[in-house]
Amino acid sequence: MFDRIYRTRLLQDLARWEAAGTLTPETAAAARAALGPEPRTIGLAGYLVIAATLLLAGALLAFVASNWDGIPRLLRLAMLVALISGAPAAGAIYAERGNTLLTDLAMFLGCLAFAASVALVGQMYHLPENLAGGFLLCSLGALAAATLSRSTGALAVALVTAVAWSGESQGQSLRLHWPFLVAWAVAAGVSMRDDKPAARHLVAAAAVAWAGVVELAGHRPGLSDATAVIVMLLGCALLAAGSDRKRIAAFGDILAIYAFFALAGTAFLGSVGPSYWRTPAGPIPGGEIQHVAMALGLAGLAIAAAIGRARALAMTGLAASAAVLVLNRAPIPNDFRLHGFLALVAALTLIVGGAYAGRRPVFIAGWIAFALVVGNLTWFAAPTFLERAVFLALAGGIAVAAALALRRLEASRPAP
Amino acid sequence: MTAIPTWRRGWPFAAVAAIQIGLLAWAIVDRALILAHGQEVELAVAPVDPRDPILGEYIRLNYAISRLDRSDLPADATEDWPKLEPRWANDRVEVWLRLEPRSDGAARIMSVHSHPPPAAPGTVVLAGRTSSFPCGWNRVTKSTDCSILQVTFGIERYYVPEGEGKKLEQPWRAQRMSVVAAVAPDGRASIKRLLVDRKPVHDEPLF
Repeated sequence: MFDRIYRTRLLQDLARWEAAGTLTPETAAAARAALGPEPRTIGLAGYLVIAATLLLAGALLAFVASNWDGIPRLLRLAMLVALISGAPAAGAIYAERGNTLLTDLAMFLGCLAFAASVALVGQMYHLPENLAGGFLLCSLGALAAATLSRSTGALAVALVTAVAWSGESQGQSLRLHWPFLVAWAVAAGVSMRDDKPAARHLVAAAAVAWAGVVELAGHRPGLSDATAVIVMLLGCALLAAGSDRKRIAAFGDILAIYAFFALAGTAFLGSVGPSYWRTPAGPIPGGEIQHVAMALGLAGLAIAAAIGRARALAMTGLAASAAVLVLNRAPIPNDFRLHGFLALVAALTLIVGGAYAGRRPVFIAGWIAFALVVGNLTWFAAPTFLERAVFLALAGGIAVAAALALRRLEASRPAP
Repeated sequence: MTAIPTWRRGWPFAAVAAIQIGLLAWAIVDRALILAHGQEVELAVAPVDPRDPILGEYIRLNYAISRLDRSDLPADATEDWPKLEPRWANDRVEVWLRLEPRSDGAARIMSVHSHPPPAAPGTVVLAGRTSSFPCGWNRVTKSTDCSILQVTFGIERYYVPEGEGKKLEQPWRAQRMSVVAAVAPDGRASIKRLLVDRKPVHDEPLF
C-alpha cells in the first residue's frame, strides 16, 4: 500500500519538476523507468473472490462446530483436511501466475483455517484441554507455511500464536519462557531472508508483545521480566544494526526502534516504583545471576555495535538501558527520588541520543517517556506537592545545566 | 536457461499442507493411543450444559475427584499438600492423584502428589492442575481455605451435537452419571466411555 502511495507521489513530483524545468525530460524518463512496471493489483472481481472465500470458509467451520452427527466424524475431518490443503493449492496457483499478493492472502487464510481446524479437531475428538499446546501447534503450522511459502500473512499468524503460547506457558512457571525465543529466532531469520519491511515490523512487534506478556503472566521477583527482555532485545538489535550485511542491518534497525519505544515505556513503569504492578512470589535461586549476566551481555553487545557502524545509537541504548536496569533493580525501595531520577535519565538519554544519532523514532520515544515520567512525578509519585515541586525544580535545573554544557560542546566542534 | 517444471515450483505449498495435516494427525493419533492402551478408570461426574461461541455446545463434566478435601484423606496421603497451594493469583500447580479403581463404582483417591508418584499395581495415576482459584471459602473464618483444592484434568468438556446439550443434561442430572477415562502412563487422560447408572450410553471410537 505504501509503495503505491510513494509511487503516485513521485510520479506527480516528476511531472511538476519536468514542467518547471527542474528536470530534463530524459532525466524524468529515466526516473520513471527506474520505478519499474506498475505492480499487479487485485481488482474488483478479486475482492469479491476473497469475500466469497472467507464466507465459504466461515460456513464450513461453523458447520463443523455444530457437531452435526448426520455426517460421520471422519468425513468432517476430511472437510477440514480439504480446507487446509485448499489454501496452499490456491497459493501455488497464484504463485505460478506471479500474483504475490493473492499468494500471500491464500497462505494467510490457510493458516487461519489451520488454527480453526486445530480447535475443531479438539472438539470432535474431545482432546484434553491444553491451550498452550494448541497455540504451539498453530504456531508450528503457520511458521512452516511462512518458511516454505515466504508469506508475511502466515508469519503474522505464527507470531501471534507463538506469543499466545508463551503467555499461556509463562503463567504456570517461575522461569522465563525461553522456548519462545526459538520460534521467534526462526521468524526473525525468515524476515531477514524475505527482506520485507512488513515482516521486519511483525517480528519486532512480536518481541515487544512477548516482553509485555511475560511481564503480565510472570511472577518472578526483582528485576522486571519486561525490562530484562527489552534490554536483551535492544542489545541484539544494536549488534544487528551495526552489521555490514544490508538485510541484517535493516532488521536490527527496526528491532532497535521498537525496543527503544518499549524501553521508554519501561522507564515510565519503573518511575511508578518497584512491585507496583507485580506481586513477587519470593526469591528463586539463580535469578539475580541471570539478570547480571543479561546486563553484562548487553554491555558486550552494545560495545561490539559501537565499534561497528551504529555507534551513536549503540551508546544511547547502553546508557538508557543501564539507567532502566538500575531503576528496576530498585536498591532503595519506594523512594520516588531515585526512581524519578533514573527514569528521567533514561528518557533524556533517548531524546539526546536519538537527536544525535539522527533517529527520529528514538527521539520521539524519548519525549513520550519524558512526558509520562514527568506526569507521574507531578501527580502521583511523591507524598506531598512540596516534595514534587522541589524534585521537579531540581531536575529542571540539572536539565538546563546539561543543555548549556551540550551547547558549549556543539559550539566548540568544527562545522561539518 | 531451463524452465523449472510446475510441480517442482509447487512443492513448498504441498509441503505446507503436508506439515499442517501431519500436525493435526499427530494430535488425533496421540489421543487414539491413550484410548487404545491407557488404563481405564471410572470417575463420577455431575454434568452442566454450557456453550462455546466458537466450538459449539458441550457438557461440562464436574468430577467428584476434582474437589480435594485434605480432611477426607489420611495424613500420609497428603504430605505434598503445601506444595499444591497457589504461590500467586492464577497459579495452576501440577498435581497427580493416585486412584484406586473399584469394580462396583467410581474410583477413589488414595493419595495426592506434587510430582508423579511411582507406578503401583492396582492403581492409576491421573495428572491434573489446580484450578485458577483453587482454594475453598471458609464461612466461619471468612477467608480462603486451602485445605480444600479444586483440580481439573483437561477432560471437563464433552462436545455434543448442537441442541443436544439440554436434552441430555436433564435425564443425566437425575441419574448417576460417570465417565470411563483412559489414562496414559504419564497421567494424561482421555474420555473413553460415558455411563448413566453404570450403563454405557456412548463409546468413543478411536478415529
